[in-house]
Amino acid sequence: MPLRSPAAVGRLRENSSVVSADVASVLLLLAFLFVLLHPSILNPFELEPHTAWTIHCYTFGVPILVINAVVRRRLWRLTPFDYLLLAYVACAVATWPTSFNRHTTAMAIVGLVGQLVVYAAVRQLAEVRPFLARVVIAALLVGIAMLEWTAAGVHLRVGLSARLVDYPPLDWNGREGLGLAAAIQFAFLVGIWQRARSSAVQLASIVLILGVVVELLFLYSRLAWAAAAGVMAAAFITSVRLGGLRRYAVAMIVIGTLVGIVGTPYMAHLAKMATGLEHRGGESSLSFRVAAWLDTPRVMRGRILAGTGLGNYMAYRPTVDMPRSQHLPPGFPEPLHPHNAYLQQTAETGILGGLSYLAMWVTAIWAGWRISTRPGAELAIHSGLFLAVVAIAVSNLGENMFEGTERLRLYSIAWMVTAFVIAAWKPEPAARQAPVEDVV
Amino acid sequence: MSSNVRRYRLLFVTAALVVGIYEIWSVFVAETAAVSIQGYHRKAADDFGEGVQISQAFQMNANSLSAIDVQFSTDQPLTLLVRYEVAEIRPPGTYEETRQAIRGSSGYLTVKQLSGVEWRRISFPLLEGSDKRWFALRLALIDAIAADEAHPKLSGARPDRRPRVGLMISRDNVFGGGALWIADRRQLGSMSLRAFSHRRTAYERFRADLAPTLPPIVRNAAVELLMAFAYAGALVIVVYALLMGGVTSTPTSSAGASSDGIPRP
Repeated sequence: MPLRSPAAVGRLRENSSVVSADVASVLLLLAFLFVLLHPSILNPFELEPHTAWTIHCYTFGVPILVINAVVRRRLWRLTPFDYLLLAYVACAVATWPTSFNRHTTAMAIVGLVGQLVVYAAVRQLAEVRPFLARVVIAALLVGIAMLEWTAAGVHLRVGLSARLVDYPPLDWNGREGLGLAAAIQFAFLVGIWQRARSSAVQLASIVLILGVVVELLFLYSRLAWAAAAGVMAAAFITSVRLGGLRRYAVAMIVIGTLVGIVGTPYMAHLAKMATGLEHRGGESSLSFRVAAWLDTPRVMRGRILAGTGLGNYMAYRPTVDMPRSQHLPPGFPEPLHPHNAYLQQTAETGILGGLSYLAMWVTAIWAGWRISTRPGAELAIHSGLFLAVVAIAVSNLGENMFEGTERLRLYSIAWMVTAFVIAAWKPEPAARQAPVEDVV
Repeated sequence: MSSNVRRYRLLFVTAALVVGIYEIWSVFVAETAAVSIQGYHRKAADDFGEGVQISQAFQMNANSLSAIDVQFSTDQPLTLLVRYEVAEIRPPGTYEETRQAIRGSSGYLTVKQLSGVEWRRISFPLLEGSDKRWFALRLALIDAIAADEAHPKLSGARPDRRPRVGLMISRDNVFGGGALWIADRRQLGSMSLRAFSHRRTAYERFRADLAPTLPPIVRNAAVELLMAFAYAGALVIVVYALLMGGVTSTPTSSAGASSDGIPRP
């Protein structure tokens, strides 16, 4: 047996603890993906759903952070995104003393920190094992596809010409929740379609794109449609920048043809309502959203800096005396929340918190753009991540997609996607050929 | 090809096969309930053991309702005699309204060798045209005897020595959970219940109840199966490429951009 020096033995031990940490981290990640994509929030201790999901987040993230901190003794390099995130969190926490309801704000902060723990854990893993982005995207593709197939029975039963109005609030098959999940899946697939080299993968991705387009259409969620449109717009810009316009055009023609074949007059009606071209119908129109958006400055009056307190918009708004908006369609109730994540965050965490939040998303999109237009073997993955960030950011213009129990897990997906984007983002891209281990 | 890659490929193919076989089994072979109601937070309704009638209204999701599974609970091995009544009703309002049956079926069920918490089936003549209709299931315990039959009837035993017999219900209202009554009192939650049509599998029910509602071109079974398998195959290809490195692009730059999207070296 060869003799080993103490230094070599030390290195060997260090390597084996790194391997153990990696194995434990990957197992935790897989377990988290399972609960993330389970049809309903797992709640063995019969807790309130928000609390149950927050516990899942901590249970996943904290061990990963502890294990990696002990083994690797470092976290990650800070980027502009992290500084903005810290500023946002500081503003959110600072709302507590002056909050309209301190208990709600305290619970919202605990939930926010839980989501940040997910971000931090995934960021840590993404820094040391960028390959895990592939695992997460693969899991999301399969998991969301299974949820769509499960929900297809319900949709068929309701009828193809009607919106899914009633759905389990804690499950994934809600109209907007599953709609945005489908839009995220669509974003990944468009990224793969645009940048994959193999023709078999291209063909497979276009088949899946067609499947998800059908699902998106019949979910009748206009926000998901807007998110998908945003994805296609961003994909067009990356095609102009990187090339691939012909492939983009093929996708547009195929999707357009499918929409033309399966589209119904009701879909056209909904789209017209959403864009303000039509005003008659039971669904909310663009003017309803405008009324909700314009409520925000009135709600913020007197609380511009302090905000209402994180998580308090809906409780605070009814206490503000304001006239009925002229934009509100007759017969519609007054909007309970601003139907816009950025405005809601501004109202709740004050103008500085809102600006930090907005800047954070702008930075995430910028980082996504940078990584999706940078030469490298992971271009398809980075392109999919960028388009997913765009999908989430766009849908949050018309709705707070993170509001409510159904969408808690969307929030976690958003943080995971952002973590991979920021981890891959390097302000000065290294112009090097991709090493073999990146490719395999 | 390195042995590691071969090993990962084998692992992937095995996993895909296992998942594929499970999916085929669950869609084409396994018996699947048309309606499944089970809350997250469950308890035993012990009033059932006292002879109190428990009723559950639910909306059926398939034609030809033929059987209902319910969950009984006991604290010792018992054989139960239960009176059941399955009745089609109008959408439930008050308890009295659920008593006004449009049609239905009733009878006695002997639940043999019951121990702990177990699902047991109540089968009855087919109720055709049950899709989207409301039904009420009413259950009342007639008697309970020890499962080994060596003991006398337990209904006459002293109250402190009577076994606990219950029906599993939830404390939370679940989506599609219908309405629950204990005696004539409306309750929060639902009875744990699974309703079946005479078509056993998910695929048979899909063909019978949902396929006719689809556009003509996709009503054909072969077209439907082709679409399902094409989708599953495409998913396998993309996931394989993601995990095994097939989704790769050679380095590109704007200078090297090509019109077909395939990066040029």
